[in-house]
Amino acid sequence: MKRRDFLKWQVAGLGLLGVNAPLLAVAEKVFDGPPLPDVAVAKGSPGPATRAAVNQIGGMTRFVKPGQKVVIKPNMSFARGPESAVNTHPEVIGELLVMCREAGAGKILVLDHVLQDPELCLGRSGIRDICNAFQPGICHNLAAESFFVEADLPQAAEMRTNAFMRDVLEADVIIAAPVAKSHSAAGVSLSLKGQMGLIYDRRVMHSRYDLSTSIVDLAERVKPHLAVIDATRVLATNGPGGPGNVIQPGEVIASADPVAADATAVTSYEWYGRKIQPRQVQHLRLAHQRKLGRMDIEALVTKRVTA
Amino acid sequence: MKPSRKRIPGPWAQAAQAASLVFFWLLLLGTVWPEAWLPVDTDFFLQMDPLAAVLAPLAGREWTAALLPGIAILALSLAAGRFFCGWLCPFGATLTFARRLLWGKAPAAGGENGGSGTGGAGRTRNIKFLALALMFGAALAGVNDFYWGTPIPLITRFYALLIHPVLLLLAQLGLTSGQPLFAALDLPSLRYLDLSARRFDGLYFLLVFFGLLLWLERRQPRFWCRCLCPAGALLALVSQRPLFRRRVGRCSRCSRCARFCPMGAIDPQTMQTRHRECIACRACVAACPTRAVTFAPWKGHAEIPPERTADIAGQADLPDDLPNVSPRIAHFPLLPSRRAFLGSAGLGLLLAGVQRSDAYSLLNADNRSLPPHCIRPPGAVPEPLFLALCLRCGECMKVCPSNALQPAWLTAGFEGLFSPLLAPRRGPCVPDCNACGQVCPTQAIRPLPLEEKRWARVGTAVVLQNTCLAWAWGRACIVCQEVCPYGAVKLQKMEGFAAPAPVVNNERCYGCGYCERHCPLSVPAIVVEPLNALRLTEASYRRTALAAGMDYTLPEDGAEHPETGSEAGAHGKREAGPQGIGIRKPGDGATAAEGSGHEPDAPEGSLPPGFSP
Repeated sequence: MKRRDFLKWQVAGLGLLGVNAPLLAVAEKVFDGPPLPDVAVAKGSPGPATRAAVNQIGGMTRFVKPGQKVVIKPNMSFARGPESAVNTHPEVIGELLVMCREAGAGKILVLDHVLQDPELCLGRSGIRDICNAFQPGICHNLAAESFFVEADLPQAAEMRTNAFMRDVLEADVIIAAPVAKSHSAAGVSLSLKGQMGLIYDRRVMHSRYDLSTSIVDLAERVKPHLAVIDATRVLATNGPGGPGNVIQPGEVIASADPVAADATAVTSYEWYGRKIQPRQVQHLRLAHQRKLGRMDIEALVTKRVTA
Repeated sequence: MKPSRKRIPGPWAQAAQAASLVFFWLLLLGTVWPEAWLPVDTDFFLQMDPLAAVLAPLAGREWTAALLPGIAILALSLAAGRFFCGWLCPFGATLTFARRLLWGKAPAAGGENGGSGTGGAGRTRNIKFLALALMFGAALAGVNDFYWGTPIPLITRFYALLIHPVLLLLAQLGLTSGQPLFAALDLPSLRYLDLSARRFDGLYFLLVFFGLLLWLERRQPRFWCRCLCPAGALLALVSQRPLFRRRVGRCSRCSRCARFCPMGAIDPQTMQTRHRECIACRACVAACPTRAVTFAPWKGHAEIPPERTADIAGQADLPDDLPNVSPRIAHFPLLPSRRAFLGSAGLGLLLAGVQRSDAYSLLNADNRSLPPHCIRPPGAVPEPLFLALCLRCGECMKVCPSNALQPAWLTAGFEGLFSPLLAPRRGPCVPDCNACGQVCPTQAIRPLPLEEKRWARVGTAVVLQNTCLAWAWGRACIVCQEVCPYGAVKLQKMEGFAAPAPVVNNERCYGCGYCERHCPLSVPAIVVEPLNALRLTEASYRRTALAAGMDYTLPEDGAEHPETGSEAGAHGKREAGPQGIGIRKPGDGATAAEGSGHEPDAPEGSLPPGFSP
């Protein structure tokens, strides 16, 4: 072989490698196992279904690295028990805590800024009890200004600033763990809408800004790294406060993409007794348009399992 | 018998005072909801106020058993004098210890500070008697003017509304600045401890009132107790010659006792005691160098020559070995004349007459004519009785978990000064809480069990359609509906409106004020008014409310809510779905409170609320 030919082959080989880099990545994945689904839906009782759903999308170790600070954001705004479906089921939170610890998380906090009397909310929701059983002093309602720091949202369309929980801004991992419920202004209240509980002044999101737009603005800063939607009970009408029609799908939805998780919840259940498309939820449509996630779940891989 | 060795020295009274004050503070701190464990009722001290015990039942024309301890104090004073003032009263204790703290150790630093016998000369000392007569006259006419002078409610209010919030503020400052430290030390309970601030309306009055008293205290020890306190006056009237009273044996006439008497009850020249001014604190016992003073029930003692005792009941003759006594000093103040007493009582009656004649006075109010912001706590008795019974002690405001109860300025008229009002924008009335009625010492707010209190409607929410985001601007805002614990706010979709707008279902609205509290506008567009408030003296709130067609079942009661299924199906109202909250029967839901709203009906094909096409 001539030296020239040798060099030609070498260049060609390099070019081939370059072209096929994505293919190689796929090969790597195949080598590691089947590709992970984008969204997992697990049927079962709250705790096991939570574990199964998160495991399907790669397990907690995919999201939480040893020593990292984790904030879990549940729904616990209402002084009602789990059966009302206005708050996240405590066992979902309990399972997430255990999984975070198994993944080696450093500091874990369960935080919300509740609507009704905080004592009653944290108590009746059952979430504080399960958190205290895991590790005392990790579940808090933060309402005082001193727990919040002003932060900019440079990518925002409308709400360019608000005060966020200091612990949330300092967290390495944010896990949204909402209950699936309808919402008379936003359509549904899921993992994007639920992040309103992490800021100091959410009144402006109703009064000064467009609610749906500012929900998406919020995601520019506190988009969850992992969304775990508690659809063991779903408040299908008259949310977010209820009382409304509670259906019992007995499912937990997990995804690294909160928009996809929310879109899955929207299409999986009937709201007010009818089918709703993700595009009919304005903040999901906007989040999709702003590339914060994908609502076109028909183009994504969803895996359904039974825990 | 060796009385000189058995007597209790002065410090005992101070120890009792200190213990009483600390206990008072602890009780006040423990006046929280949900109930903290307390050995006695939170209104333990309030029940002992002798003036309230006499005048509240008189003004309210209603016997209040809870105030029996106050009557007992009065009866005991027949035997033991004004021991209440010297040993128990947290008001007096506050003044005593404030004096010590601010101006040195001696409880009464002698003559130059007004400790002398005539300190607070006759006329000034008589103010309290005249005030008492005035308040008595007003109470006789059914008007409560005595809240200006009842010491225990006043001092309760002082600590609960002024001192406690300021201390909380300081503590929170410490917690906030310590947050990084607590985080570093991994103390989450401190790191996240949030002492929700207590804020109260109109504290200037308390500041000026107690500032003035402190200034007077500086001029003269216990000026309030000597000259102003009408409860002290009442006790003085029954303590003219108590069984246990100050008796003096071998007096050397050094006048040390007079200088140490915080009440100026001893004439330094004659060593005479005016028992009605004596608070039995026994400072004189400790001060006496010859140990000649006792508080024994018997007259004299074998060691004390009877001719040397100065047990003064009336106007004993002056000893003739005191040539330089000026008549002014020697003449110990008498009680006001009968004419002055009667005149003051008459003035009280006149005052009450004027107050009752005021066009806007709530003394004549029925429950249908209350001013807009006059929202009373749940279970408050009808307004005229409420005004008569309310001591303005501030216990209800202290205990209210959402800081919603605020002292009134003139919202409830002059007669309603400092009485509790529900201020929903500050905080809502929590459906699961009945604390205000439990702590109220006079049952001006009835001590309702929770299942009764839940029906004690305080008012009605009214949507201000000209400013409401949904009504006026077509914005999708549903906060009032979201937070309403009773499901009383419905969202109604209407022709020409971009978003469903809130309307209030009169049958379900309690007036709790969650909606007003959380309205996202800077000036709330949904406000609670005392419309349809239930004010009952004895009847059951639940039965009355049910009879009036109200429905305050809460979701957690497992009530049959139209939305949750069976009933909606039974009435065939499923199609009303999204907006048909709380509508129990067709045609029943639209009420006067709904404004221009019409029966909600979602036309076929229209979307549920919050979704877009």
